[in-house]
Amino acid sequence: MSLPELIVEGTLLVIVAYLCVGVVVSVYLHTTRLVVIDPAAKDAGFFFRLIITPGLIALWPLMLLRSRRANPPGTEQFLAARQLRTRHRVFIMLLSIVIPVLLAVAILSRSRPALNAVDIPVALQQPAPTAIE
Amino acid sequence: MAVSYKSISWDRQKRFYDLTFCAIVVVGIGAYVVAAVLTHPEITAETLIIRSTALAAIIMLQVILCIGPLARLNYRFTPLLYNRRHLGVTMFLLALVHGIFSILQFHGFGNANPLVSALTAYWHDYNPAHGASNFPFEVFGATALVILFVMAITSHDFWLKNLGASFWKAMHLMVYFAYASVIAHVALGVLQSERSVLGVFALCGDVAVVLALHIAAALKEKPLDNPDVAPESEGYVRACAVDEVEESKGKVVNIGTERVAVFRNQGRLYASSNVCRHQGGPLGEGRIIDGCITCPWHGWNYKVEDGVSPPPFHEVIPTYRLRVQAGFVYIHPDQNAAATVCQGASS
Repeated sequence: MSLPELIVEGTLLVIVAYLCVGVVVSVYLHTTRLVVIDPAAKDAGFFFRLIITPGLIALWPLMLLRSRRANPPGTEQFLAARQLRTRHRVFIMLLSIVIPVLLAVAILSRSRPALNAVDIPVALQQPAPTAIE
Repeated sequence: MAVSYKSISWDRQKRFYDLTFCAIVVVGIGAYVVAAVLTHPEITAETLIIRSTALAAIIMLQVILCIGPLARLNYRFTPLLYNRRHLGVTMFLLALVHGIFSILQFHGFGNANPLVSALTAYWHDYNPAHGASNFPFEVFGATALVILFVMAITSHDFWLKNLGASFWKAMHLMVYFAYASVIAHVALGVLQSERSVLGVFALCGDVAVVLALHIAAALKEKPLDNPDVAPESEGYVRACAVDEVEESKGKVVNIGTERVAVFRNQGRLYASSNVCRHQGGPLGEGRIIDGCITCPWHGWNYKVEDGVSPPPFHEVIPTYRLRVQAGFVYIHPDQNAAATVCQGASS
């Protein structure tokens, strides 16, 4: 196995292990901690719990941390709206440079398709050159 | 707004929105399949699925990205924001189908792990001397799919509340990185082997539209963040003329620190934060309905006198001291304590 394959195999194993732990933690959160984290989840139905389960599996470290923090509902605000707008502008500026450069490199690297009789309509094909005597 | 969570809070508007875009997606994919079969009768079902879902996903992603700046440029596009998360989740599902079928078609049913093969195959074939030809473009597709997966699984108000508004929004700003990855995936992948220049023009045109709309919206918004204001008597800042605020409507002003929404309700003027507690929507672009400031994005409500959501809800937005002098509205930059009842100022 080559080095890139080893790296990818190893990374996939780590991800699978992480997700397996996530499945166990999501069961724990559903059965004991979910209502403590967010009291509004108390009367939520089965489909709500189904919808949030992938997130609980993928983001279990954040949810375990969250379950240890007391945070009354409605306390966090979008206080950094101005910073958010500034961040937005920076992202757009970067995209406006990176994407056109990327497209230019990709288009210039395209190999020209070989022209043959199949590609040229019959009406436009040149007659075969005749031998000069 | 909801007291308890539901999987999806259906209402008439959401149903219409979802049915409309689902119909467009189904008809679009159907039209592509018919056209592909007619022009290439030898095409296989797997190739049709791979290409149709890819095309549908990339078009949806570009539409989703355009909705935000369009809503900033013209208020008529604001209703498109209402159910944008359903568009996003559907786009992710289409991209996932594309990814799964691509991996199975090109890397499955062999000796190697399909995922390992997909992410490493081109490392053997790539030669920098040949430019972008055979460049391992799958990595970009996988990156985009992971980002879109994280965004899709956190597209619910439960996550917005429990991950924290700022962290959640920062996470969802990764959509731009996903977009760049998708463009790289297409440009370095299928665009290298496609003979037709139509695909090149279409991709470049789409990217140009997305970037142009974002730049136009940024240019429109920037002056509002750099106001030429200075505190006057007792620290109050002149915000706007009284006549600029219509009855039951708001006006967004900047008093040097942050944007503030000024509302007129039954002849009296009030000032509150312009930032909705839900997803940061511009409250000043909303209206007053039944005495409540109503966010134009998703309809969240706050009483105009104290910024508190009507019972049984708990959300609170800051309010500001306001006074009227010589036909102008003056606002003090310091926020009132939470839930302070304001009498407003007569205009």
